[in-house]
Amino acid sequence: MKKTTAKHKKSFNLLKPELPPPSAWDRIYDWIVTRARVVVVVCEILIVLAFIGKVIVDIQAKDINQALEEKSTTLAQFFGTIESELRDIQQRAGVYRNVWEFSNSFSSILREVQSYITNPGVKVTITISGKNLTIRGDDNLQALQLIESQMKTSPNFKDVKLELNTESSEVVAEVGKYAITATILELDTRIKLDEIETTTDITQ
Amino acid sequence: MPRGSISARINKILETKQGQAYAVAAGTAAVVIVLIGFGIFPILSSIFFVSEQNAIKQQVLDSMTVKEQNLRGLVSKEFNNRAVTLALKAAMPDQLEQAVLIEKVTNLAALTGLQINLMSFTELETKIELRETFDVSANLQGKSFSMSAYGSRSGIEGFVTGVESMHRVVNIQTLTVGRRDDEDLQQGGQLGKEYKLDLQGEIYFIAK
Repeated sequence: MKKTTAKHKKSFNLLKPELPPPSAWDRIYDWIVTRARVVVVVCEILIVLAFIGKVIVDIQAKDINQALEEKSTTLAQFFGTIESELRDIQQRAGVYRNVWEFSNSFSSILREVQSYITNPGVKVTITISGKNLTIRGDDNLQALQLIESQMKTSPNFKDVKLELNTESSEVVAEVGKYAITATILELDTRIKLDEIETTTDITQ
Repeated sequence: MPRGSISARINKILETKQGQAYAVAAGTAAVVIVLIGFGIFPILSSIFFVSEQNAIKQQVLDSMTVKEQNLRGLVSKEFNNRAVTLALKAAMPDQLEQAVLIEKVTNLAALTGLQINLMSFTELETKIELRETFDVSANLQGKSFSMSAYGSRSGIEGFVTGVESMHRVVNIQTLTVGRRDDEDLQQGGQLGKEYKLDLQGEIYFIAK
C-alpha cells in the first residue's frame, strides 16, 4: 500500500512538454473554436443592428404615411371647395383679360372725326364698323370736303375718298348724298388691365 | 438507413479530433448561413426597400406641402382681394345678366344726358367661335346688344367712352352718330338731344 502511494507521488517536470506538431485538422479546429465564434458573434451583432435599422425605417415610414394622410385630407378639402373656385377665378380672369384687350374701342376715332365737324348744324352721319369709317352728308359738300382733307392728313386713316353715296337706301336717317369712306389704320386698343387695376377702383 | 447506424457513424466521426473539427465547422457554417440567409439579408433588403419607399413618399409629401402652401397663399390672396373677385364675377358673369347691363347703361346715359329709345338683345350673327376670336379655352358665349339714343355730341362721345370703360365688356361692332331730322328737333324738349346714336355691340359671359 505504501509502495503504491509512493508510486503516485507527484513529481516536478521542468521540461517543456513536447507536443506533436498540429495537423491541418488541429488548426481548423482551433480556428473554429476561436475566430469562427467571433464571426458568429459579429453576425449576431449585425442582425441586432439590422433590426434596429429596420425599426427606425419603419417608424419613419409610419410617420411619413401619417403625414401623407393628413396632407391628403387637407388637400382634399382644398380640392373640394377652394381649388375649384380658384381655378374658376383664374380662368375667368384670363378670359376677361383677352375679351377686354381684344374688344374694339371707337371712342377716340369718333372724337377725332367729330372734331373735324366744326359746324354742329351740318347734317352728317358717322358710321364706324370694324375698321371701316363712313361719313354721309347731303347738304354741304364743302363741309365734307373739309372733313376729307383733314382726314387725309390724319395718321389714323387711309384710303380716304369722297364720292357720291350710291347706298342711299341703307343710309341711317335717310341722309347722305355724299359719302366719305376711309379705313382706320389702327384701332385704338383698350388700355391694359394692369394699368386699370392701379388707376381705377375695379369694384365699381 | 437504420437509425443505429446513423448514430454509430456520428459517434465514429466525433471520436477523433478531426471528426470533431468537421462537426463544429459544419455547425458554425450552418449557423452563419442561417444568420445571413434568414436574418441579415431579409432585414437589410427590407430596410433598403422601405428606405426607397420612404424617399419616394417624402418627395410626394414635399410636393404636396408645396401645393398646400401655394393654395394657402392663393386663398389668402383671394381673401384679401375678395372685392376684386366679386367685381370680376360681375364683369364676366356665368349668365347673360341683361338686367344688370341695362341698369348700368341707363345710369351711364343719365350721367351723359342721353335719352335711350331702344335697347335689345339678339343672338350673335357671327358664326366664328368666340373661343377662337378671343383665344380662350372657356365656354365663352355672347349676345348681340343694340341700342338707340338721343343726346348732344359731347354727351354721345362721353357715353361711348363710358361704354368702352365699363367693366362688363361691351364690344362695340358698329357705331352710327348723326344729326337728327329738323322736324324731330322742332318738337319740344329736344335741347341737348340733337344727335342720334345707334350702337351695336356684343356682350359675353362664361356658360357653365
